[in-house]
Amino acid sequence: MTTLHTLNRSPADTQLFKQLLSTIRVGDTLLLLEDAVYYCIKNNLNRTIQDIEVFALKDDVHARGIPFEGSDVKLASYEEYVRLTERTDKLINWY
Amino acid sequence: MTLKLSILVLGSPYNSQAAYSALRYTQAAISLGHEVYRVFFYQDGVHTSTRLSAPPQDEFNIYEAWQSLQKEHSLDFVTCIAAAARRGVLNDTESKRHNLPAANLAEGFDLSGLGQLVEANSVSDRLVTFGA
Repeated sequence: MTTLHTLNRSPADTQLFKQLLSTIRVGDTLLLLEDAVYYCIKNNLNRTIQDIEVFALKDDVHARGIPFEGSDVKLASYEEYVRLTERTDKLINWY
Repeated sequence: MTLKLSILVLGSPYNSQAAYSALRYTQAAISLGHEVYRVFFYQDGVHTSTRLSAPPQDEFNIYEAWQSLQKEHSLDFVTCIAAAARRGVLNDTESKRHNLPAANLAEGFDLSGLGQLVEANSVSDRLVTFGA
């Protein structure tokens, strides 16, 4: 059983991120959208979340002019967001 | 695999990105052949269903985009009646019932209760929430 987690809040919302971390399991997928794409700026996300595939919504990354250099985070289109919904069993939208 | 999806919109245009993100997701889901069972507008998300907004002409018109998406695919759009009434989003019936001078619910949207959200959640494969 795998879950797609989405997060739309900036790293300033530490409480929400803590809740997400306490829930996310190995094999789950995380998609960052809206202000959560600011997590891409620092690479510390990859140290906090190991063995979790992390995506960031491409349009939101570009809209905010975020420098996106070779991190483990992958860029995803809205179509890919839909496909991630399809290939996981459950969905949790954190906001 | 074709999914039956329902969409929950909780944020108003301009105050959050929820209405825009939900629009883009819904368009993508349709283009990939999934069924969009219902779009439910709740809390500040009800502001998306007004027909009395006039954004500047050189800006993206999110209201028009939702309305034409509904029309094009005959989608089921439900706006929470209680959340809408308190925010001044009314159809003709509600406007008369509250003895108010105008109605502004856009064509293609229905005012109904939270039961429609519960039902959508229970019959859909996923409920995709766009929070404010």
